[in-house]
Amino acid sequence: MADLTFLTTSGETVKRELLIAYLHTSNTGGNPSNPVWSPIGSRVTDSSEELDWSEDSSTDILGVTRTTMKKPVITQTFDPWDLDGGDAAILKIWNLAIKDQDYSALAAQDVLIVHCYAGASTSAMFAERYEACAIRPTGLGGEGGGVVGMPIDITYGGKRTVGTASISAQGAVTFSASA
Amino acid sequence: MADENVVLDVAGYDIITDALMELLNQYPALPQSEKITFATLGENQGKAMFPQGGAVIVEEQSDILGRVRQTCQYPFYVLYRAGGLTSARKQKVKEWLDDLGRWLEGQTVTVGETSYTLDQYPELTDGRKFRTIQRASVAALNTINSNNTEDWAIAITARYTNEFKRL
Repeated sequence: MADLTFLTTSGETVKRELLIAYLHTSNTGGNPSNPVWSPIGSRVTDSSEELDWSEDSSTDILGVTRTTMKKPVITQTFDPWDLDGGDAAILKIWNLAIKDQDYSALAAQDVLIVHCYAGASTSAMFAERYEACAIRPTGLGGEGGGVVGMPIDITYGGKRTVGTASISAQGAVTFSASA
Repeated sequence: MADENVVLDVAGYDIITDALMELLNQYPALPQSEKITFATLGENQGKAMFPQGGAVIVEEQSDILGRVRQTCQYPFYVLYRAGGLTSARKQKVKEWLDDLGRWLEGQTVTVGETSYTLDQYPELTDGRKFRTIQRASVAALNTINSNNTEDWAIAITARYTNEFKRL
């Protein structure tokens, strides 16, 4: 894939909402080639991908420093993530984690990251699909008088497929893998 | 001096006012023949709600999907005007207002021999939702007017959230 350019105006910073992770929320056994993508992070005010490159530096006896790196392990925390019956992503994770305690399924979640700020056009935005992400709820609860939250950690994993995404006016996401 | 940093939920003012007026007039201790009016009191008697300033945005947060969540508050007074009040009658007026505050908070109040509890706040429009309605003061004598009527008042604050997608 050739280098991409940003779709945003030169000289302007990129709005945070132009980087969105989506969870495949079709029912178990749904068609993986035609998934329903639901955004993760409603009411989450701050969340970033953390990239661990397994960096290892050493200096030889001549004083030369060399560094090795590996493909990154990407993790991301969404905290707090408040329960909302209208949020398909949190509803799916709540069912898997709290109702079913299905740790196998939680470790094999299909997640699409859409970089709405980069690509050839707004109908062909850069996207990366990770087909076996581990999603780990780390708590369930909240303070009295508040709301119930279920913060999660995601470790992106499984087969990585890059491609393009488009988002309809109604918010439906369509992903196309690069040839 | 006005606080220059105060930001108002201008569009929300009318929505909240209408909802509060509807709610206040459901107060079980309000006689069916009477009405709590908006910012208007009869010369000799009446009950009215007076907004104190506007609907103020006290906190605003944006989520990572671009949705904005504002926490707002709308302070107001309820005034009860009456004349020729005896000591016992004054106490009744104060209790009426204090019970109004308790009822709005979701506490149980007794009218006659019947207990009443407000189970939910009115639905709001345009992404707004009541969170709490609480007393900001106890009921107290506010003013003695030139015609010897008295205005008793209680200060109440409604807190609500407003969620929307900002362009």
